[in-house]
Amino acid sequence: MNQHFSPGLNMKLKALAVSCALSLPLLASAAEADSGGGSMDLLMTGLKVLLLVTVVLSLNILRMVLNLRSTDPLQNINFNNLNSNIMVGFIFVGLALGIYFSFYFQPLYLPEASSIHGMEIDKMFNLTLIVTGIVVVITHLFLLYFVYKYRWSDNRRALYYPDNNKLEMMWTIAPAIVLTVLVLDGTKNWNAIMQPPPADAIEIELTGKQFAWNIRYAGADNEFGKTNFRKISAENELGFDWEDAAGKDDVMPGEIYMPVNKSVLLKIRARDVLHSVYLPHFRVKMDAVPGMPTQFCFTPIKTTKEMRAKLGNENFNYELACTEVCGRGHFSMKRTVVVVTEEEYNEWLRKQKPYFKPAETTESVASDALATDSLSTQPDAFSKSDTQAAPDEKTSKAKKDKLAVAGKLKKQANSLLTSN
Amino acid sequence: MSSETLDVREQVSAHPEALHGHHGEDHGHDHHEDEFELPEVNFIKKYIFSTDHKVIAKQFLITGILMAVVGIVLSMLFRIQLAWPDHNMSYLKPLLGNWISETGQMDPEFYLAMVTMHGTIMVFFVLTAGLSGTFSNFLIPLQLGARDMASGFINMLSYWFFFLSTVIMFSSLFISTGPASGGWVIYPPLSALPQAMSGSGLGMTMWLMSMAFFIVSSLLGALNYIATVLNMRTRGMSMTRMPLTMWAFFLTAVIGTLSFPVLFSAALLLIFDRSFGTSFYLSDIYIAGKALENSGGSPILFQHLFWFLGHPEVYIVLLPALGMTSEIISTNSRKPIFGYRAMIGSLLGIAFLSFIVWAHHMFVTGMNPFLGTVFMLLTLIIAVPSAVKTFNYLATMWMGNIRFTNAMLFSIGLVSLFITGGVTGIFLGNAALDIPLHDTYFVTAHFHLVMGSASAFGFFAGVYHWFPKMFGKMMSERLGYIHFWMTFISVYCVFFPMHFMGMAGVPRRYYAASTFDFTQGFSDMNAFITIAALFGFVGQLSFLYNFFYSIFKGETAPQNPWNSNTLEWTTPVNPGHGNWPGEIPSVYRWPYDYSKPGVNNDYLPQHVPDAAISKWDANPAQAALLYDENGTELKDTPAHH
Repeated sequence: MNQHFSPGLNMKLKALAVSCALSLPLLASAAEADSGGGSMDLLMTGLKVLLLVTVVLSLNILRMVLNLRSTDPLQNINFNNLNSNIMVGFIFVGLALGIYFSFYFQPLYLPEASSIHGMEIDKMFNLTLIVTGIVVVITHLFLLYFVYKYRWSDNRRALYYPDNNKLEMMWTIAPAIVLTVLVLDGTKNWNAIMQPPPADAIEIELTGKQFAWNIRYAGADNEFGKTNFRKISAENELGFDWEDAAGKDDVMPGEIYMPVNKSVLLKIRARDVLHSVYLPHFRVKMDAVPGMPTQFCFTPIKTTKEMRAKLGNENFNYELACTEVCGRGHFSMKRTVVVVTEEEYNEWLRKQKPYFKPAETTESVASDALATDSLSTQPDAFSKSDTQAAPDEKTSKAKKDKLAVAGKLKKQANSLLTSN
Repeated sequence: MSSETLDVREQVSAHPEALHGHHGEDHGHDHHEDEFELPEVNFIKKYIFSTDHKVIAKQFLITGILMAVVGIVLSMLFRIQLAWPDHNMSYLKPLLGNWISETGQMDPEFYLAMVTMHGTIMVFFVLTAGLSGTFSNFLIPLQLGARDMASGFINMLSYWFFFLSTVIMFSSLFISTGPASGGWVIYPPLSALPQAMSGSGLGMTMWLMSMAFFIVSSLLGALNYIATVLNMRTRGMSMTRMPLTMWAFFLTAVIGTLSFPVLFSAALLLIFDRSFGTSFYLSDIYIAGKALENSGGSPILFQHLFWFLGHPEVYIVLLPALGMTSEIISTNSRKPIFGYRAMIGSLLGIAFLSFIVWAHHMFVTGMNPFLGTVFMLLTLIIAVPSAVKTFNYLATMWMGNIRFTNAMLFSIGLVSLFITGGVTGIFLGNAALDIPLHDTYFVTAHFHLVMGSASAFGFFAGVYHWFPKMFGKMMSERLGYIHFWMTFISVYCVFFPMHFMGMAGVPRRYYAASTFDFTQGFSDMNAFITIAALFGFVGQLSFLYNFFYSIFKGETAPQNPWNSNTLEWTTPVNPGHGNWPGEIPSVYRWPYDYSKPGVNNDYLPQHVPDAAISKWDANPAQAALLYDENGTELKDTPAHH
């Protein structure tokens, strides 16, 4: 047996050994010569050639070993049965591992949703997971059984069985029924999520830009000031039209605060390219589109404090991320979301200083535009620099409350659909 | 390899003349045949500017394989970044130059560029042109009994437009501002504004140019396929006697013809926005310290136009794979495909529905929520024909006599991936569930399993199954086993864990997971995925080696290595231009008469009429090709048309 393939194979084995032996010291020296310049290039080229040679030789040897027909060392193996057995093992082990790890990784999944609609989504997710899980397991068990039971045998003949209308009807209708149930459930939830927001929802405006989120609250008068993208500058992030008094008390904090158990309406805009508001813990996602405001309304039901206690993690924070690719800093568009009680929220909001800077509206300030527009892996670092600039608190609390009532009425008229 | 097929193979290689016995002495050899068919043919006409559908198919195949290597290498590079984000990548500097910083970090924009190019290359260049282009071209005339495509010249143009587009797309990898980087979906305004990222400059222009040529190629090909299927079937080959491969390729071509022009218009408008100052997709933009003039456009319009192609594209990629799998599972189970008409019905259903589900990619773009309801309903309906197909594959294997050839293994793999990846579509097609899952790794896992891997498995199944017809040689089965198992294991190890990341909410296209708390905790899993991907990559080397080695040095193939029923196996081992040296065989039955009662052999080819069954049954390898309905053998004539 050896005799048959020894000339070619032995030579190739030797060549493989030599190339491996050569590539090892080369690898070592390449690792050392990190800043070696020219010699480094040469080494790398040599290394690549050797790697290629090694791969080709290995495959060549593999083929020769596997394919020697006349003196086949593997001739007694029934490859058909072998493959069948491996497939059976693969499906069995695969299903077992798949199920095991689905539970194993549970601590890494998002915790139970912190919003009302999110709870419904979670329920539906679990229902769908059970239904599809059963389908995957059953079909794979059939596959496993057929692969084992009906593998080739010289003594058997396949059954000529081209059709069975009843059976086919059955497995057309069964998935149709299951899917109808899921669709109805989905439609119900989708419509509930997307219905027009209640009039007393707390409005928060999120504006995506490369690569940060601007956060805006309507301030004391509970009405957002007009903006125009042509007025945007380094010191006027949103392009406020300062002619409009409603904008002068708008606040732009560095973190998103929300009261618990109150409807929150996110008004979503983008300044340059597409972004997407993503609040994973609340199961909230909505694209930010330049030129087309969108919105998402939801109700947080757990404060940050409650979540920290529940998860036993003192450092837990709700987060806002971007999920529509928007450029080099896409992965870093982070804001922290804080859910507090209503009293704490009102207290926090009162303390915020308006974005309006009366003394500086005409002057150009040494801009931090470059800093904010370029990549920063710590968005929080600049979130503080571009907000809370003017310490100009004029409005009294009483006036604020009055305006809030007026603002609510006006908002009812303003509540616009997310559609274009 | 079953003992039976081995026997046939040995018998044929021992008596090669047996294959050509019935053709008579005057045209038994194919080089002779070529001279007869195209006396003026030279090397360039034969192998480069060829109008022979078989040569064009091989051109598509080899170009597709080379592009697949590029696409896979790109994915390995960004997988390395994801697995070990902080390690020093200086060793990649010789390959990637300035995209690796002085401190050995990968540039975030280059990461996006690789993700984008990986997607573009794999979806369009490998799985559309490499899969559908190869096998539609190769199999349509052979399985229908036609000498060539309806227009050989248009077919040749189709390849060369594709080649041109390949060259442009490949070159864009090497320009200093980098290739297109806004994701393979190239959503404007990101893709429209060079200020937004450097890849949106020249790289994007080249992307659009390349895709324009690609669409031309795809349309020329698709129109040709449709014309051929409708007009050039041999005598007796009614639409309901066509192999399911033909139905799949035919419907793929119809889908492509109707949807690619929409991508073309989307791209054209984007070109206008980029170069001529129009505002189709742009409005209210302040970027790089400047407010732009554009006003009134809608980025959502682009998404509608893009996904009007983009979703059918999924089926353009998948249907050929499903068609070939039907053929291969039936052949290797030695059993008729179960529910032939239901299979056609579900193909038709999928093809139709594929046009009216596109907006399920856009549930959270801010489009009218009512549209979300409609598209959710339509999307989940498409799961029904898909389920029917799956059950029919399983029913075909039930009570079969299964041979685990390489092609069969990959087909079984496809069925498994189609199920595992398909069911997650039920999550994503549900608008409410899509809210948390959209643009997370859950989506990546879903479409890589059901579209990417399943179609790639269909591609491999097709190559292993029809390689003997393409090159007249056999591939090494045992290297094929190694290839299959490495690929299958790797695919599941790479993409299954991504579901878990999706359930944790980890977004796609993130250069690093370091910024957010909720994306933490997956560094081990990311490393595992990358190692599994590298393992799968090594597995592909055994395919590459097997493929190219076998073209030149493979064992000579027998005429019908898989004892298959379809017409392509009635051609000589190396068919010349024109496919059949004599008359084209007529067809007397559907292609799935495997293990038919009353027939001794476990197959019964389409060209054997009932009256000639016993004659054919006695010695299938030497039986005649041409019979009339009465079973009389017809005399072979040398004339072709």
